Amino acid sequence: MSTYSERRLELGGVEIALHEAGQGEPLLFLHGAGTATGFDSLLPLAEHFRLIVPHHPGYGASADDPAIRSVHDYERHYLDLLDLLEIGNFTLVGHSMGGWIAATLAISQGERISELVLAAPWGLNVPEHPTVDAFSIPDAEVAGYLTADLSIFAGKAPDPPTPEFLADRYRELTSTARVLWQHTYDPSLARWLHRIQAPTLLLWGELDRLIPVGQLPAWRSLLATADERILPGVGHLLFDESAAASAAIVEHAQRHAVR
Amino acid sequence: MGGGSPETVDVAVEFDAGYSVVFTPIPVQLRAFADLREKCAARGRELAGEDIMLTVMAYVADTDAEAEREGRPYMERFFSWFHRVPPKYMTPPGYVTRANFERLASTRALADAQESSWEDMRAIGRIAIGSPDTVAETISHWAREAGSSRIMLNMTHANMPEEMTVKNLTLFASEVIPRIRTRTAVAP
Repeated sequence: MSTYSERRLELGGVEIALHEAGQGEPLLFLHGAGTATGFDSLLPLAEHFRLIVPHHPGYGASADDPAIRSVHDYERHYLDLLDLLEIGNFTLVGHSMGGWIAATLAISQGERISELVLAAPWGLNVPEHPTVDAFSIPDAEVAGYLTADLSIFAGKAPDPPTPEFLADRYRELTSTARVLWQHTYDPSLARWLHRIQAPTLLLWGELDRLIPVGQLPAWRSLLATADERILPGVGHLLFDESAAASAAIVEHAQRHAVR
Repeated sequence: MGGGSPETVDVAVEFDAGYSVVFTPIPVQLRAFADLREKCAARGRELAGEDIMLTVMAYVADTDAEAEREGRPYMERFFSWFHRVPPKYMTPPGYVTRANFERLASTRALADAQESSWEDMRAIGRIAIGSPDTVAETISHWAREAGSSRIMLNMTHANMPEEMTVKNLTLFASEVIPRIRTRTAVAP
């Protein structure tokens, strides 16, 4: 199994942490609104790709960037990062809030993206299956909303949580609030998703309590070419909960391999 | 201006306002007052006693023992139940600095789902409880120590019945205030 090499870059005066593993076609993974469980669960992807996992500004080991106030700002941030890394075409995977960023990026950068994976993405308004307001979940219940398998936090989240751990989460929640305090969706997204031409995989945990899998058909109906994979018994943190999540990305890439 | 964040001191300085800080250990309050005094002096403003406001939770009865027997259960209920606001709701995202968040999350009488003792409560609350002499002496000491001449009083605690509240107010007015006047003897 590969391991990550870590490096730090500066983008617009803000220090960014970047984890990389493997070789081959670049796969940019955009994480969700928290980094507590880390990204080791993605390492199987490094057997097939040059896996690139940046920490968003305001999350994990990256510094805060007060200029980022919207998903579009994250989109521009990642355009800067792709330039800095001199990446042309790439596979794009986004989970949760990162899925919203990935969809936004794929709308404007369609021709560069060879494959798109949206894993339990934020971003669409599906009134019949609403996204839960993450800011109002009582602290004690957050873990149960994030995962169907609480054992994924073993060794990653102190029990009981230390003030430092809580402060890390508070910082990430603050960064999230800067972007989606008002809406957990972009009212315009549905209008532009048709511009995504890359083969797209919609990946979801069947038991997602935060962003219900019931939102998947809305995405599928708006995307030109979308496969779907629903993981049984799995919640919102699907990559931590099931090895099948990363495996589904590899399978999808192999099925659509034209490169 | 009022608030537990060190940053609030800077806002009070900027706006030439008075300042109060609640539910914070007294030594931390005194450091905030000293910080305020120093920063105001740097701008040529000398603080008056009324610029430093103390918030006091008071309960007075004929004797110390009686006050504690009557008042303490309600003060404990205030902290253990009425004030048991999860940090999440006291600190919306972006509302406080990291240092301040960690302080809140480590203060046992404020943190979510942590049992706090009477000592924990007294460490963060200015709880003046006892006979008229005890309460007057406690508040006078705090006022002198902080250089404050403005005391804000909480006289009803949690679900304290009305008759106890009225008794507390009446005793405070008739027995405690004259004693504080004598002790502090601040020139009008």
